[in-house]
Formats: sequence, structure tokens, C-alpha cells
Amino acid sequence: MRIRRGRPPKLALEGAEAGLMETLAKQLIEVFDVEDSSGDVRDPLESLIGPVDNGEAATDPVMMRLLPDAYTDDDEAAIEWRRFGRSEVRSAKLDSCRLVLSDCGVEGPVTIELDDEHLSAWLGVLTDLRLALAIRLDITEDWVQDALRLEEGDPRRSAYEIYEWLSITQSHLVDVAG
Amino acid sequence: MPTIERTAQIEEVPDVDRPWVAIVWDDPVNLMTYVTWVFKKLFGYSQSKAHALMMQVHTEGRAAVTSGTREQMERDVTRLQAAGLWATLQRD
Repeated sequence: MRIRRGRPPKLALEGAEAGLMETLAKQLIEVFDVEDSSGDVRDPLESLIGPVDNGEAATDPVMMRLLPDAYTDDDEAAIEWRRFGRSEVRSAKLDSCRLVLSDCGVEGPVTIELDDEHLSAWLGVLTDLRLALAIRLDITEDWVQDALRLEEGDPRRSAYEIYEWLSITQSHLVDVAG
Repeated sequence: MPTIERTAQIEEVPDVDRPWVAIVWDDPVNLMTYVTWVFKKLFGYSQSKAHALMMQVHTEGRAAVTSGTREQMERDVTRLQAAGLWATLQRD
């Protein structure tokens, strides 16, 4: 991964890195694009007005963090928020995922020009991926020590490596974003 | 000579236009530089104001980052959450 300063800044990814981001963006789309946890049939209006939310509180820790309740002390407002506000957040996140996916969806290395829209989308997607991985891995601020303690063949090692790559990439991108 | 009333009744008038705030909560994952960038980008804050708010989130666990009507704060919370920050709104 190489980042070039400038207007716009450019992000150059090796083939494997672009492939990784493609896979992760697709997984994130699956997270946001589900109808709801009860498995209801998707509303036919969804393609026009975006995903429809059922107003129920999220129970999965990743969803609770990526799509948090906006009201903490007003149940009625919280339900209303989940139906409308949360749908908007979900749509915005889906748009970002799809933009990143379109940037990475080619074979081989890619160089991506990060205008404002792309930069915001990339930073948002990197953030959500880091948050989701952090919850799944139970990552704290001392995660490097935890990662170093894992045995050679521990499957979590590759997840930590991905987390590290996402963190470094995001950190550099914020740096050039100014 | 008339005497002037020495005490005055101060009436608290609620600021009806700005009674809601958007709160950003601390989390152990989001990069400090990213949180600062989001505040600058979404609200047009200067580097020093954005950095100060980020530090308040980091050290106090939360900070009110914008204020306005309920509708405005819902919009700001939507944008903050879309950027991956943990944001809620409440009456000030």
C-alpha cells in the first residue's frame, strides 16, 4: 500500500490488498443490506427508498456499534429513529461500501484517486471494518500485546494482521486528508 | 429624587432555537486523528476546535459536538454515525 499526497491524494494497492478490500467491502455490504434479524421478506419499495428498518433494537454487538441507537433515554424516539434515521445511516454506509468495492473490483494492483467523496467513503469503510473486527476479536487499546501472545497457528492471527493493515492504511489516509 | 429599584428579576429564557445537542462517545478503536478529521469535515471546525472536542471525548468519555434543533441534531447524528462515530442526541 502506497499513498501519494496531492489533490486528490492517491492510494495504490497491490493486487492482494485490493482483493482483501473487495472481500471485506462485500462482507460489510452483507451486514448492512440484510432486511432484519427476523428474516422478513424485503420490502419491494426498498430499491426506491433504501433499506426498510423494522424499528427493533439491534442485539448483535457489531450492529449495536455500527448502527447505534441515537436516543438513549426515550424509548418512543428510539423506535422512531431505528425506523428512519438508522435506515439513512445504513444507506449512507452501503453507498460508501459500494464505492470502495467499485474502486477495488478489478484484477491486479490498483491506483485510486481519492477525491472528497472517495476519501470519505474509504475512511468510513475502514472505520467500520476496524470496529467490526475489534468487537469480534475483543480488541482493546493494548491489542498489539494480545496479538503477540497468540500461538503460531491461531486463526485469529490473520484477523489481527488484517486489523493492523486497516489501521495503518486509515492512519495514513487521515494524514493526507489534512 | 426617585429611588431606583436595586434588585431586578432575571428571567431565564430558554434558548428555543438550540435546545438539542449531538453527543459523541469515546470508544477504544477509532483513531484520534480520524475523529478530529470528522469534526472538521462535517462541521467546518478549525483544527484546534476539532482537536479540543476530540480530546474531550477521549478524556471525559463524551462531548457535545454540535447544538441546534432536534431535526438538525438528528441530521448531524446521522452523518456522525455514517462516518463510524458513536453518536447520540439529547436535550441540552
